[in-house]
Amino acid sequence: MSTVSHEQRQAELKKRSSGRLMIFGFLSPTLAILIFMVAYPIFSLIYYSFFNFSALRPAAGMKPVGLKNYTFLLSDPELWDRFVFTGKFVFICVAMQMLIGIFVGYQLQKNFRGRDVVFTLLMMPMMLSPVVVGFLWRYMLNSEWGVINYLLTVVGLSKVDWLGQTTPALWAAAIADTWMWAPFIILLATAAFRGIPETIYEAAEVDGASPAYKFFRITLPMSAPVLFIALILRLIDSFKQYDLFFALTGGGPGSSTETVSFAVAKTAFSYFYTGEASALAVMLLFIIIGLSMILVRHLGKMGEKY
Amino acid sequence: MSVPMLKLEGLKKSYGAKRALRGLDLEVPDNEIMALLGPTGAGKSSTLLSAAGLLSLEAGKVFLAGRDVTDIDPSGRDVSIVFEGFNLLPVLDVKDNIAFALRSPTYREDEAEIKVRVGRTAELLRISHLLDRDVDTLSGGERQRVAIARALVRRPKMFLLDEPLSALDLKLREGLRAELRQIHRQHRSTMLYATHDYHGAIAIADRLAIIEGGVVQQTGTIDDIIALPANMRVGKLIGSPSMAFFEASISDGSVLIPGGKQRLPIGTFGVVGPAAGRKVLLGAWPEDIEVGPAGAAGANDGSVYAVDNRGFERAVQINSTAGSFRKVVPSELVFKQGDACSFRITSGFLFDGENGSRISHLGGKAR
Amino acid sequence: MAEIELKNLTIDFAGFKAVDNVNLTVRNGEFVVYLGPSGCGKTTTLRCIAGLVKATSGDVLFDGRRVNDMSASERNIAMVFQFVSLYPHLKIRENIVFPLKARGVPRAEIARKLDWVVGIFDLGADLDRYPASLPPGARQKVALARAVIREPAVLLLDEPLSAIDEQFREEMRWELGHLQRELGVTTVYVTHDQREAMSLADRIVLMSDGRIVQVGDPDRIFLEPENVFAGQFIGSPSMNLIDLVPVDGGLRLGDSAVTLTPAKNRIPQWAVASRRKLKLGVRPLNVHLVGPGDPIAFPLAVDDVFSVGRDRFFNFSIGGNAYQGVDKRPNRTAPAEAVHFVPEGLLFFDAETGRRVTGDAA
Repeated sequence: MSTVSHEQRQAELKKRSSGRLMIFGFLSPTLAILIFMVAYPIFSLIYYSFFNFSALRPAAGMKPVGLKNYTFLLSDPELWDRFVFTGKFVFICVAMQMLIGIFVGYQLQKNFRGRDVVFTLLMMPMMLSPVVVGFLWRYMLNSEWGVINYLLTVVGLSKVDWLGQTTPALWAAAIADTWMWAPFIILLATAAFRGIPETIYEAAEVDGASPAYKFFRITLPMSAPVLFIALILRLIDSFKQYDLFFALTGGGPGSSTETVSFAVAKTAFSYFYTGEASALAVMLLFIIIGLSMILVRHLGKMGEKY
Repeated sequence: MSVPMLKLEGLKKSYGAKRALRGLDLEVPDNEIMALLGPTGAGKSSTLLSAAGLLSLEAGKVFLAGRDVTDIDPSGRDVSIVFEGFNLLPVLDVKDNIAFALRSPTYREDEAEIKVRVGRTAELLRISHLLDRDVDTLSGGERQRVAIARALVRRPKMFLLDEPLSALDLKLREGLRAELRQIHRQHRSTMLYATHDYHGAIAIADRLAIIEGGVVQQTGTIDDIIALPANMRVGKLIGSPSMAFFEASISDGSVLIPGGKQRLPIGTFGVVGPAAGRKVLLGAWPEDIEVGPAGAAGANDGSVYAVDNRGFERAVQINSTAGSFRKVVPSELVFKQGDACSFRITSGFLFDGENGSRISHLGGKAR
Repeated sequence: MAEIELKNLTIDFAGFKAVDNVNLTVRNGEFVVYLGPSGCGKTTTLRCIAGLVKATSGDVLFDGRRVNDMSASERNIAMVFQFVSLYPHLKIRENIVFPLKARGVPRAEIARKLDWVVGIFDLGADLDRYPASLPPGARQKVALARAVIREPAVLLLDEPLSAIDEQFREEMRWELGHLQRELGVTTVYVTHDQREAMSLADRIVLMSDGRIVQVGDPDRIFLEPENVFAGQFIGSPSMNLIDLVPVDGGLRLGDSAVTLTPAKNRIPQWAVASRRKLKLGVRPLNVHLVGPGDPIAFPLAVDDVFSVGRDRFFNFSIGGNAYQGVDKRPNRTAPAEAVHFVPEGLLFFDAETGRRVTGDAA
């Protein structure tokens, strides 16, 4: 009797382990690609960050320097300027994008004629490459013959040297980024708003809620999960903004509009301080991983609650 | 009695921390319809899945027609199962759905025979006109008929029906129930029919198995169960309205309810288990409670909590200090919410208030 | 508390008359149930009373005051919807007090009223949970608590029990009936389930195709249906409708050999004398099973008899048509070879118009 049940258990175990093998089989191509495309580069990046090394001169060899790359970077006031500038840029453009996105999204949630056309048009800036957007705005913002300054003179204002000064350049970049990415928030916000059942609004209406009360107590909180995801995605994306600045300002005037990513690229591919650039990239990576973790945890929580 | 068609012995199954089956025993006699009656979450579906072999059990044995099938695959058991909701294949049309099992390796039949059988089953369930339709063009009632046809087209040892009618509206349900009985009569088939609907269960079944908390509480015909309910759980699941419970005490050789004027002689309850120091409840079927005008001699006082009009009769809920009960009263008796009234318990059973088991050997009678 | 009056109410959806010239007064504190098949306009009427749908023409009056142009939030009503209308992002507690907070009711009063409804509905254990974690029945209980907490003048219920499983539905029906009478709030309830309507209503408003078919208390509608539709919509199993053929001194049941006469079957004299083509309506519970030798027996073929408790369900046939009967008399072993119609339960309908015909009209 007991042997039978033992055999049964063995059979059951066998069945289960063969199931696991199958799962692994199905996963292995994906795993291989992930290891090759993600894990390997990340580990080599971290590895290089502990060496004094230039990819331009492999013959000079790799000198292990421990944490020196990091201590050098962290004590460099120039780098702190990069972080402060990046922070300002991220705050301004993400705030603008969220506000415009939620406001316009709220207007566009109702069905109206031509809704599809409007949404197709909204998608277009997103489909462009950031470099193209950068050049586009660079021409529009040209202090001499740009269309923006032309419009300013038409209404009687004086011309602004948009890209030649730090603060206007910061705003110019934020506006360009918003032009490109606010539609993304609009799309997500509209989808989130439209996902709220009509009966919920009817219930609130019957319950005596004013339009503003409905917006702040129903619309916003109920679409908060989606809006939060959009926010984090935009934070991550604008934090690593490089190509827009590359095309729009080239980092100037001076290096005053260089973001952290810009600095990584410059250190790595203009100065070819590969070790130092790796260390900076690792720091950037951890910040972005931190933001991503908030996102992932939030996604998990959302699944529990709703 | 002959060998039962289905015999379940000590089935145990948990889903995580939730224990669905806790040592369940059940016997379904050959050629009978047995209803497995219990509330949602009682373990009905798990019982059916175990019988079909679709559940890996932690303990227990399953016998079909006397043969131990505990370790046999579902396909080797020769049972048919109809799930709650629909288990139709959307890629096939109605006739191919019905014929599905007849084309499987285990039950393969030749195409001519399949055609005859599908036609006959469709006729029985009145879906002949739907045979060439796609499944997703059918209404809910039609789909359920197809699902039942798919199970019936085979002549399995036994049918396992898991709330097959609960998704349908009242009229369709009554119709299909009659058809299932018809099929049973024609083919002498054994069915285990899981449901939470008391009316449905007694309308279709020869015998009931009352299940709650993963254990079968009592089996028997409805008359057997009414004559001697095993415990309070059975009382709560049987009857429409179900059994009423009153706080009770035993003194001076009588059963009393608080605030009541009635005494039921303890002698009529047969042997009574130990009751001293325990909470005792008197359970009475609503049919054994007489309701009358307020202040009737020798009756207990109550008040009407709510009235449920049913057209040809009325049900009332009556509250009293000892407990509340619901009862169908003839429509000549006019009650309004809030009215005072009286009631008299003509017979009842004693239960242990803590574990719910019956402690009186018989149903006690009032003088 | 309020009295609701609908005056020539018509609601038009792009040419489709969802509600067609409805007139009705719901008295203060009354429980009125709108009953009808889906698409009959009952929900639209309710939504119009709520202010969620505009009347195309006609008026809605609360206590004699026209409210057509008031928004739902101004009408002092509460409503329970068929499907989810709880705010999924708010805890049960916040859901219940939402209508008070939306109106800026002081905190102390909110707390007091919350205690009150939590007591009524026994919701104490669920206050800190989210709606998604409750079963549908409990969610509807919360929706009801949210409706009641404001002590509205009018309580509107749109099929509140239809999405709940059967076990819980009956329980809720009892509680709802009790609560409405306890609070005395004017209530309009919409359902397609005739059992719910019978059970709860002071008055039933039976609707079909946007029009009112019949208004009356449940017993009246059950015993004296206006027409075939009313007769068959209410009652389960539904009323049998049998063709009557006038013959010498009586009425023959379809093409059977059975002739009903005033002397033998106590059918009214006018029905025999009437020149109109009539149909006989007889509810299954007014068809009794009898032995073949019984003097009152109709020799109609009886089959498929089965017992449910003390009730015996059966079919009987006239010509090729099958009809249903339910004998509720407590004698399960009595013979079951023939049937008998209870004379008091016979209803006569005009074969053409479907309207019920009584002696005075004929």
